[in-house]
Amino acid sequence: MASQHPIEIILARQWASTMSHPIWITDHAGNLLFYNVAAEAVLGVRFDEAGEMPAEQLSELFETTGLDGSPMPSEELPLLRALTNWTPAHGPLRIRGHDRIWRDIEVTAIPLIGEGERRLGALAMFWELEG
Amino acid sequence: MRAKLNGTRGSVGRAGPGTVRYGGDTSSVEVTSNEGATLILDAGSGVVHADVADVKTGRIDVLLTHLHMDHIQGLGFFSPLFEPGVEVHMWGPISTTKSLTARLARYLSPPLFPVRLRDLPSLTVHDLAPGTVQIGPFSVTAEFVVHPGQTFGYRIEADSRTLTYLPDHEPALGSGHIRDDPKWTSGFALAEGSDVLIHDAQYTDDEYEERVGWGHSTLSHALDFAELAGAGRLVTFHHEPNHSDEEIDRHHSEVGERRQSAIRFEAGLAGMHISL
Repeated sequence: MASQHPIEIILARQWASTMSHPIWITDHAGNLLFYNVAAEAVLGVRFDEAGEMPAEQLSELFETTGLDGSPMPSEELPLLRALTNWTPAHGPLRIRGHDRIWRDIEVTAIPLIGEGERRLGALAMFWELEG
Repeated sequence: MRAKLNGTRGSVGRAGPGTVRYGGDTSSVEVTSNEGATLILDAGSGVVHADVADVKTGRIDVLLTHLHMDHIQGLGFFSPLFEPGVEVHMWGPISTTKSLTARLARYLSPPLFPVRLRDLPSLTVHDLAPGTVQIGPFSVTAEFVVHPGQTFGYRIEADSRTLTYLPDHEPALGSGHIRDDPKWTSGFALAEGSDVLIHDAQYTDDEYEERVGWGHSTLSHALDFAELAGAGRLVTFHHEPNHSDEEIDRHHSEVGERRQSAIRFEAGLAGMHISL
């Protein structure tokens, strides 16, 4: 059978596409599946241009550090913590989008666990820090 | 493999002179393999019409898509449950909160029903997780689909044929444009390349505008979905209780003329036999 996303992911994308705050959705392995229009403004590239992307390619498009500019190990990123521990995770970070502009953001990542304890992926809500 | 539609009405039974051909009984489909094994898909009021008097294998499996009343209300009147020597296996979607037995017992217990589920000795209940299980000659794949609450669709493969059963399904809610992308379309993996697709087509386009999110499709949605999945034949199902036989005929005819779809489609009739 052809690959089809679980309905929990399909419905998460539908919901995210109606939200006014930035949302990013990955599968269980951290591969990018979708981000919404509000996220495009922070990430500096339209999703239609970026498209779905394997996890290992994400760092080529989006560079991240701590708020002070110090290196941030990928396992400390809220989204990866959510996918590793399967619990919500939260934290601030600095991200450089496709437009090469650094922005300070705060991220809350929530694991998506379906009925039958199926570990489906995660979604991250984020917003730009002021000042 | 062959199938018989024992109940095609959606939501609530509607018997009367205006619903004779498409029937007044709620969802139930009987599937029989070439060697005589039987599966029952849903146990709405139509389940009482199942030809189970002469089950060759001594075993019947009932697959429930979900536990809305129109899909389980016939259970208490399903004669094999009370018949010595017949093994009944009931399968339905898993839940993290309560077992399938506990959820079914809400209905099959007083005061709603005089007999308790636990008093049915030949019944075995299976909490089914998404995936594929082999039930006799049938390979059964269950996946969650878009409909309020935990709801499965089923893909049944046997005798080199495939039947997909999606009686309550609103793929338009998740994808907006069903024809765009299979990956983002609920139920696609279940229906892909099916010989026969039994699919929800409860509403007209106008009715749907008022009922977005209720978990059902229009005939247009069902056709879009069948075309995307490359189904060989579409049988529409879960007919709106307020639609008479005449209205169902007229609606299918109008949409057929407008769409000129390559998919063979027809409205599911009460008692209809489908040979795969």
